[in-house]
Amino acid sequence: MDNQNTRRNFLKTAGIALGCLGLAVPERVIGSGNKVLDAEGDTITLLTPGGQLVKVEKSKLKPAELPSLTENQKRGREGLPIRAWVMVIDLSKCRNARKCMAACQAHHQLRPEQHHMNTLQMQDAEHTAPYYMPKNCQHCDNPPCTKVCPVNATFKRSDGIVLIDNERCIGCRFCIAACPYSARVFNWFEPRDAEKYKDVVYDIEANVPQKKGTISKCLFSADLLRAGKLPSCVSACPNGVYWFGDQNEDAVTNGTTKETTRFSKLLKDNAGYTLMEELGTKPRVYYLPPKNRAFPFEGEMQKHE
Amino acid sequence: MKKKRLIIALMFLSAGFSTIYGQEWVAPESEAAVVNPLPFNNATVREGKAVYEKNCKSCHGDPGKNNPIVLTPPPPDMASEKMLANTDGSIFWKLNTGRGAMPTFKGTITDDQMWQVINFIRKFDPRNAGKLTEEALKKGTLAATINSDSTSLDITADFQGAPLAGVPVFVQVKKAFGMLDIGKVVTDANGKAIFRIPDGTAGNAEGKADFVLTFGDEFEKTQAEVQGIKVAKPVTDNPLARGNVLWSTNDRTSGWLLFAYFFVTGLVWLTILYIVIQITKIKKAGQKN
Repeated sequence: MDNQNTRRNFLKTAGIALGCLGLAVPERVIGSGNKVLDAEGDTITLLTPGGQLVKVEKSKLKPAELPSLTENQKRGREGLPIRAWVMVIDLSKCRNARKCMAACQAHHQLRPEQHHMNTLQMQDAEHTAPYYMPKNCQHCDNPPCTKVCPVNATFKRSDGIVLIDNERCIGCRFCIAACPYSARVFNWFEPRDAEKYKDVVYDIEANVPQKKGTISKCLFSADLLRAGKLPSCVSACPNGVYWFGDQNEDAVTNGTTKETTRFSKLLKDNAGYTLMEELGTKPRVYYLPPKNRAFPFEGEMQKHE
Repeated sequence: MKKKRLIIALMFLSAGFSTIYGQEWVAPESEAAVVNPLPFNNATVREGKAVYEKNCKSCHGDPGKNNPIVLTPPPPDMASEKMLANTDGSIFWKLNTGRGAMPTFKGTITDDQMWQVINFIRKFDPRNAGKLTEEALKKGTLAATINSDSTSLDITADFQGAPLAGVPVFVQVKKAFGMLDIGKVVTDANGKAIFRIPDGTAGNAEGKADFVLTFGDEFEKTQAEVQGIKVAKPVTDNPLARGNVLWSTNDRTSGWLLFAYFFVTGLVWLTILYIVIQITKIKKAGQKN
């Protein structure tokens, strides 16, 4: 008899628990929906990929088929088929507007001191002219960083992008030590707007939400590329610095003017080069030299004596 | 000490700026009197608009909308009275000279392009109101087929059955984020044209290209597409897809490396084991005696 009683009690509790779960599900669905932040009355507050909050009427929303975390991670590991993304940075156009950095930090939930994209002030030798140089992850074809990862968290995709899975990353920072371009950042503190992104499902292709104690890096805005859009830094530039495209198609498009040109011709005509090519890392980011600049250098070079 | 120097430098700098910007920027009379060699018409204004959007818009914003970037002093709006009070010659001189944040465009754009931009700016001058008559857009239809050996496009341009002769047709290839211009042909008396696909036209990874054909700006927007034409060899080998790892989780590590590691480690362990066995044998032999 005692035995039966316990079983009955168990079933009863289980039933109640299941019922509660059932009640809780709709709430959970709203809570776990990608980028849904707050729901009250007839409107709902959403977070756009650009990091802005918008209010939308509930009746206008359609349920989207969002990939679950595992699907997202799996999908993110396979590159977009038949693509080989390349970026060309025209140093003769960069005048330190820093719009690329702002757009990048908004997109990838980065603190002000964290940079996937950073505009550096460069002077190669004592008597040479200083210039501005935007620098991001070079997305090397022979990446030193992915080879040292002990947990397979960072990897190179078939479309050329080097990504990091923050769910796998253990924060050992071997990759930071391996990267010759200092392209990776570590989340030493709680990321920017941590509270705002708390219920957002992790997107491996945007590194959002960021996780404290893990690495983050430039990912060519892989989530935007999947949607057929240019990376956020490329379209944010007001000065036509960035060209982005598919090397297989031999075409790159300027983010500012939307002009499309041949990738090989652009490099050939302007003597394009890659950073630290002597290391054999084979970067996918190319630079055009800072010649014929139509504006003055306004920064202040630091003297390291 | 360093801070003091910086403050003094900043003071000088700001004093310098205020003296520069306090003055009106006036072109020398001889330069201001130079007359625009280009006619003021739709074609030059259209060219000028393209040059403006590429080189000027990032600072000066859209003419008439007063949306320049934040700078001190602010870049003037192109449709403002102050701007339009300049003669064509003085704008040309200012484009060539530059001052402060306004760079010189000498060497960046050609003289012709400068005059085109000036024509575009003049479009917003109330004195020019009504001078540019908007031409009605012409209408036409385009059709194109690929020839049997995929080397050229056969183009037909007509409007309501009548062939359009002497009309330029622009050919572009669709790319990931935009259209790549690859050439232009002019139709003959029968409204037909043959466009030879240039050698070295790049397709996508499968070696295929989508062609888009359009008329010029004076036509209503219409286009013809020829899709999936094989123009190049497909990219068969994708080195990026190969896992490129030296040592990582087991499923990503190269087989030879795993084998070599376990082989050497095993060898070392076997050697140690052999030595231990030999030592125990020596010990046993000693006990017997």
